[in-house]
Amino acid sequence: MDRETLERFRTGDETAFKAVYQRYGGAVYTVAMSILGDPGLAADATQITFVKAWRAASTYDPDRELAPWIYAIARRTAIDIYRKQKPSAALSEADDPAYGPGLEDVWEAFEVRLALDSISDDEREVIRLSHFEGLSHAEIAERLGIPLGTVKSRSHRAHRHLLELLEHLLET
Amino acid sequence: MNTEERTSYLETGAGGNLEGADRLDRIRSLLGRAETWAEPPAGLLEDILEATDREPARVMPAPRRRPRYLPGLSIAAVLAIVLVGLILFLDQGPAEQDDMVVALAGTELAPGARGEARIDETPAGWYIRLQVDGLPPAPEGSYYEGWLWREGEGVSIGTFHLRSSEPIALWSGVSPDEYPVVRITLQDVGGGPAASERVMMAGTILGD
Repeated sequence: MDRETLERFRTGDETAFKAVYQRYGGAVYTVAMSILGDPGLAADATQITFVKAWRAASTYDPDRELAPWIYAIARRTAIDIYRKQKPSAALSEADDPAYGPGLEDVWEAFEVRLALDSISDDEREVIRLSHFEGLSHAEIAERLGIPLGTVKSRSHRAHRHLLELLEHLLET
Repeated sequence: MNTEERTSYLETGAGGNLEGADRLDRIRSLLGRAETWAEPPAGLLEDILEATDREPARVMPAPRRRPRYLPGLSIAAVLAIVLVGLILFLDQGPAEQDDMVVALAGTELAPGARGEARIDETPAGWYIRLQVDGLPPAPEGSYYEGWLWREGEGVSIGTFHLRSSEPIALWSGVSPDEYPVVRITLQDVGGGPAASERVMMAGTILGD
């Protein structure tokens, strides 16, 4: 996201806010789904996250990355909702998402979703069909109605792009 | 594993030197999860914009009032609240007087803690920005919870743990006019929804 958009987001510009939502809305929803596991609650958490971001935009420093800032709001919002929804008797530290072993997974899920939202629709669809639906290249070719060779080259290119975007996860 | 081998491993999960494969496996696992691909509902952006459109930058007039009472505080804490409140009042420029400001002081459980809560009224509720100094991160197995309080009852305004320096944003669905005391309690994870007796900080809206 370019510096000018971030500056305008900070000053409350609606167009810039929409751009921030378009860039981070899916990843915030992924965070909410990872913590809450319920589409309705996740939608609530996503809405509250962006309203909070709107309200707190003036505190954002455009010299710093926006992703961790948005992620922090999303995670805290989802955890707050989780704690309110979970019957108190059933809530233990082990399954509290603020402490649970899945915390790193949530950050990685956010990053992976951001990367997926950064590549082309064609490439993303091939990755989705392969990993989420578990289709072979031949089955993807049949599903999309394109030659097998095109699927193979597109899949390889898509995974290379994804890898480039996620290099920082591999280094940590 | 070079880039080509890593790409191939990410794509197929097979072949190549396995050094670093565990991290690629984590990504492959995430690519197979439903939440990674879940889409927010259509129209959510419009709902968000509708909510934000209703919010002017500053909407709360300055209802600065005299404190009604200061529950559960020592005399030293009361004096600290008055002192911090006086400093905040004297420091405020005209542009900042639209906020409702609550000076917070630590109780005997957190005598070094100081802070303030700035409260803005919005159509969606009361937005509360909390700044705290001197309050340690919540110990493992516990968290902090903010409350708007009046005699005998409180309403939760959100939870936090202070394990980072991020700003704390809380929300209330009840009016600070009706619940004029801000409390910060230390809660046990799994300890139930009621406010604990461990009040770490508190403050009441200070009057002119």
